[in-house]
Amino acid sequence: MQSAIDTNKIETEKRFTINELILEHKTETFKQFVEKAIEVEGVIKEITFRNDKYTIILSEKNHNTLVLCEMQIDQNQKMTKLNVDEKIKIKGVLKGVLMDVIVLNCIILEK
Amino acid sequence: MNKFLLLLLFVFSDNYLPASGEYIERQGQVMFFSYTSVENIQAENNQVNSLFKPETSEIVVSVLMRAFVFKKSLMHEHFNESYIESDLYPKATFSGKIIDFDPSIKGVQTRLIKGDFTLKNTTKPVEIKAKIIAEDDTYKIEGALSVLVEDYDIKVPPLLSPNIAKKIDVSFNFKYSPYEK
Repeated sequence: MQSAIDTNKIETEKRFTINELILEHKTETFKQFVEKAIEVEGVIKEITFRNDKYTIILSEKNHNTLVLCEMQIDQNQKMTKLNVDEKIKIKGVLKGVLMDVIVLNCIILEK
Repeated sequence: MNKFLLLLLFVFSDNYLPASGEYIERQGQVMFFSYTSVENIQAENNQVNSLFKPETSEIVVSVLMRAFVFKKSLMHEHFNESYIESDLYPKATFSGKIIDFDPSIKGVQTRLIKGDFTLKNTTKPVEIKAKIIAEDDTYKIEGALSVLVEDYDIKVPPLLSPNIAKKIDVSFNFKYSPYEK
């Protein structure tokens, strides 16, 4: 299912490194970024394709928490050019945390 | 580890690390459908967390409500702001056990999962008919259940009442791998 949201048209609320985002989710201020567009820079741990959607999983050496970035459909062509262990900057809508930080409607900003 | 403790750790601590013998799904799919003569509403969530312990047949699931995707942004807004109140109740959870599950069987087992489903701080016992597929070193669990809107304190304004079904059909599809640090 394609979401009605297009992240290309939303202004970025805050920029994080993956380490900053993982630390931020344990603070009270994290809530203010939920449902807002954020940018996160990190290293690709894994790329999955399930239920017709790509997800880029970012990880940080010192944390068990991952960042799951579910990609917008318009990013599909770019996905085949990405590699694990590559550094990437992603923009998406922050949704919250379970075991991992969840970001939806993600687009690739730069490789 | 008993079921209650496992659930508490899984649901309330984002530092919880699964133990040996536990299988994890970080990107499970949960879909729901509301069918009425006025409108059909469908949503899907592809980032659902679940742990499964074949040895004890225990299963726990945690669903981030804001991660449901809708076709229309107004539906997404109504769902999170009015019906579910996602700021107050960000997660739905399930904790239960597969009845008569046999971990030694490879292939398909159709079984009943009995447990407690919690949504908006209301917990109700549920029974789910599910298919469990053991393949190599993974488990797939698929199933469906119905959720009554009135059971979970979901307040639908009278004006929108004809648009929302009294009974919501929920289906899920999880694929578990052994947890590796």
